[in-house]
Amino acid sequence: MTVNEYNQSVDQFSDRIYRFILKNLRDEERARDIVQDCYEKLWRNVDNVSFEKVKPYMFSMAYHTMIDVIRKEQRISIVEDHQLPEDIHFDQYSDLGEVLDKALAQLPEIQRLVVLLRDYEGYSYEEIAQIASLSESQVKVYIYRGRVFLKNVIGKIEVLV
Amino acid sequence: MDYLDGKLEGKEIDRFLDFIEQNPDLKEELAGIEGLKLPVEKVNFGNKKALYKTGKQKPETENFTAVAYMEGDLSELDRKLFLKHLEFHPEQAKEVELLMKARLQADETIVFPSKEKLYRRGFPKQLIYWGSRAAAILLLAFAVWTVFNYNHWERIVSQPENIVLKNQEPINSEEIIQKEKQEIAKVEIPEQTNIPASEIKKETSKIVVPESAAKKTTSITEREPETLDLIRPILAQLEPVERAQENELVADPVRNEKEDTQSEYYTIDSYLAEKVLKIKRSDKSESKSLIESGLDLAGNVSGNRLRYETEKGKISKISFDTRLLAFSIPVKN
Repeated sequence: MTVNEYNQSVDQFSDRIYRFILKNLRDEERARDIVQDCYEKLWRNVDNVSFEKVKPYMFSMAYHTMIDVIRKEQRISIVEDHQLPEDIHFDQYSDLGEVLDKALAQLPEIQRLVVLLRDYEGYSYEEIAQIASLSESQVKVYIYRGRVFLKNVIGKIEVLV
Repeated sequence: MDYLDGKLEGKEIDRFLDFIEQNPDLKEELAGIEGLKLPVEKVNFGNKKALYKTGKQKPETENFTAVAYMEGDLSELDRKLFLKHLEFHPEQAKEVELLMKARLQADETIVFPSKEKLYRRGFPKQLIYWGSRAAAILLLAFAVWTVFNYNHWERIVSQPENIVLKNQEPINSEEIIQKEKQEIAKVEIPEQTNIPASEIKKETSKIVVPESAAKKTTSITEREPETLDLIRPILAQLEPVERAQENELVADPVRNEKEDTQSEYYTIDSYLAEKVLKIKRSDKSESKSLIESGLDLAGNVSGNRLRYETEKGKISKISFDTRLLAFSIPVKN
């Protein structure tokens, strides 16, 4: 990858990666640090990464860096099969986006990550599996569970309205 | 018990009945057991409807198909069948609608704030970039140095002794000595008209001129205090000239400052003050020369605005002339 291609990748993906991490960590400063860290690593390996593969490479790196950060801080435990809370109160949220945002925060880490990769970036199951080091069937299951949870939350709101 | 439960076969039953006939006590016991029967309780399961099954799909299967439809995982045929199924099942159509609403949308307004930090430059651009940085730093350093140097220069220029040194051209010390000898001769001769010429010559020959001051330029540090006392007023003018010649004080202010800090040189003020203290009151020629030297100095400092006139070797008038102010003072001798 040339210097121009590297800079192009900054233009194209830095915002997306930042959004992806920010949605997960909900910490702007830390999200910024991770993005910078990822691009620093990319620059060090600039000769070994082709421009065609830079997007999954960057997302994968951001994903794993983020997981490392989370684990180090032990802020959120990554549990594969999380017991979804039944009694979440969304009464105070009127905007659908706000409700979804809150519901997303309630999702287990791994489900949130795959749903975000799917919806924000439109990655295929295969690509998400590569990025998150999961099997394709695992990705499908996590996406399914995440979507059903979000649907149920919205369903509850509609019932309340 | 097996007989009562009907688990015995034909031959075994015959043998069991023969045995009972032979033992009447057991026959009575058997007859008692045969008469025992528990009443049938009428208890029914109340929630049979919940257990009934119909041909309808399970909720999990419904959700799974709906998610697959949403994700575009269904084949064309399955998609059409699912849509047809939704037409007849509005409650499931509503579920699919909720799923569609639950799809996340990226907030495009969120952008990475420090993108500039991520950009990299190629080697030539980087070279130019760092080169321009280095040039800017050098320029800044030069500007600071110039300002500092200018202030320093101003400080030096503001000192009268330096102005004198700057304005005075280097003069050969021998020429000055000759000139001073002639001046002294002019001054002395009219007052002592009765003295023979040979004595005048003898008097002028008394002027002690150190060899070091006459032939070579020396710094004050090299001169001994005894020698300094012997110097006549004429050498008071020689000294700054020599300093200018040798040390180039004006051209090298840093060196000048260094030398000044050593406090081994006399400033003109201190030198004159010392000379004034040491001169004999009766020695008029010496005091006169000192006054003239002082006026010369003041004239140089003021850019020749302060002048004096001599009459018969004595100062007769001091005048000060500027664009705003001009005056003259007659001097009594």
